[in-house]
Amino acid sequence: MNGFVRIAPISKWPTLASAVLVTILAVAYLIRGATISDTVYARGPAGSDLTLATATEQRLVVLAAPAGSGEVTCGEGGTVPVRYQMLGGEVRELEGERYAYLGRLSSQWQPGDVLRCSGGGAEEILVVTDAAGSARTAGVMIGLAAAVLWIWTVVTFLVARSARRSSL
Amino acid sequence: MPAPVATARGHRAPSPETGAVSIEWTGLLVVASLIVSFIVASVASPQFSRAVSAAICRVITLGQGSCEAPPLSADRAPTEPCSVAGNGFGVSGRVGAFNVAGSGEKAIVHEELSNGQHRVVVTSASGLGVETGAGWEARVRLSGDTFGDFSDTTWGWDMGADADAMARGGRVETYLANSTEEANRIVEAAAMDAAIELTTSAGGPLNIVNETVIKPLVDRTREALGMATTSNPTSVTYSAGISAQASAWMTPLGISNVEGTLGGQAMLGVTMHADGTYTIHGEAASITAVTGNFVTLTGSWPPLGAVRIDATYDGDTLTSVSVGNQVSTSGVREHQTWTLPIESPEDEAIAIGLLSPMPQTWDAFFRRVDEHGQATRVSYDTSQTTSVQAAASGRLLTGAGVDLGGSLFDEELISAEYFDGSRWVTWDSCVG
Repeated sequence: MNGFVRIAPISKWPTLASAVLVTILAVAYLIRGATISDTVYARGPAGSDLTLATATEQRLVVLAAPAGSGEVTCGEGGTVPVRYQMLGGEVRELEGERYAYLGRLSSQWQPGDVLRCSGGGAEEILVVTDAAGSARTAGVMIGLAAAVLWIWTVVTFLVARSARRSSL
Repeated sequence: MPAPVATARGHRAPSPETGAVSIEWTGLLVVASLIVSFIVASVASPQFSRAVSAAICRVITLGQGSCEAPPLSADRAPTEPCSVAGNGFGVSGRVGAFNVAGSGEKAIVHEELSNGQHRVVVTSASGLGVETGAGWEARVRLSGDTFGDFSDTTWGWDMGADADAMARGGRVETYLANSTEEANRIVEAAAMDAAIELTTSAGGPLNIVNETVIKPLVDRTREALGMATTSNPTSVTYSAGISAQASAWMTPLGISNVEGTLGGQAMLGVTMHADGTYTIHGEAASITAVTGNFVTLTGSWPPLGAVRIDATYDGDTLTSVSVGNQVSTSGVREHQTWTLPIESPEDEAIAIGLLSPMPQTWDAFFRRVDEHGQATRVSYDTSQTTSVQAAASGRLLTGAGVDLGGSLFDEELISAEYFDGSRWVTWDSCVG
């Protein structure tokens, strides 16, 4: 550990600066996630064909209304599949309404592809952008990383302080 | 050390430590710059790329034969299902102190298979070894399209170099499910198990308490409450091996970063299947790479690669041998496999020759695969996988450090092909 004692006085300010920088980044993502709203790309009654008309760079997810229990299957009979995600969350809020999260639209979709979701668990199917959800996920993950840097910053300052005292 | 001397004007004279610190700063900067420059120069050359490929090949063949695969000559569509999409999560950590380093990793991935089934893969890995270095780490690396323009960027302020050598061990449990709901229950149970492990396996003695007291108690409680519990896996893989690597990094003022790593890993393992068969495998992987970014401009070279040989036995009988090659670049993972079913004494002789300590049958293996084997290549879009890695340390030969990361896996099939004897054709049952 003697090496850490010697390097701590050198590294304490850069480590603190890193923690501050990463924290700012995390807060920026969290603010973005809280302030932007996802837009509806396509919507229609469950069981009908939803045609994905125009290309977009944004990641799209599929929601069902109402957000209750019941079977909803997407992709069968259509040309574009929906990918199940274990951490996708079960309920999303959009324009004050609650929707069941069904999954992420396959990234391989092309304009003109058709999405079809059916089942008694939904009346309406929505395809929406996922900018807010992605920003929140990014903010939380960066925030946890910032916490690691803050803990290390405290340790580094304590070690640097004890090294300074012992050298006096 | 003498106390600082007060001057007549009340200012403190510079202490001897201040000079020492300046020398250490300069020394660190010079050493880190030299090592990064060396690795960048080495890795950026095409010769080095070929050398890495050749090194992996030599590890697998122990210096014998060629790694070039001849084309197949017969139409053989694969009958096994492939993975069309996967998602999940993983955490990894590494802690070092007093030149000793320990690491751990846990991941749960749910794959959708082309035949409608689902596969849940639960990976646990750990390592223990020695380390040394100079400098400090204080940075966070972001990967994945979730971060938009900030994908594959590093944020922080640090510099240094380190090296480590570790003994590694791992366990992989694979479960097959016939529906999304069944797969969900397996994932739920595996996540619960992981959480219990995480909270109770901090120390050696606690592991015993975990296995003998806590886990059975929690399982009974979960059963009583109707919650999912872990079922018997379809297969379990145990592996062990070694890794060694040297790294150097600079992240000046948080706006740019360059990092070089030179290293490799070799693993041996056995997979026990539920039907009583078992597979012995060996794997060699390159972890040599240079990554860098300036604000949002990013780059990395070369792709990470791994080569693996699998030999499957039914009792004492060797039933098949396969060779796999996996390459990962930013946003894409490609996997190519050659499989030879053992249908004759000649096949067996070639396979055993390939698996021997001094392989003599590398060319013969590919010729035999040409005659009645199977070759496939699939690629996956991994750009939606999100990962964040935080590194913090301080070392001057000895020291301490911590490295923690989290990933949300998300990959999707881009293409799947098999060789029909004259050309690569679409693997319809996989992409359909």
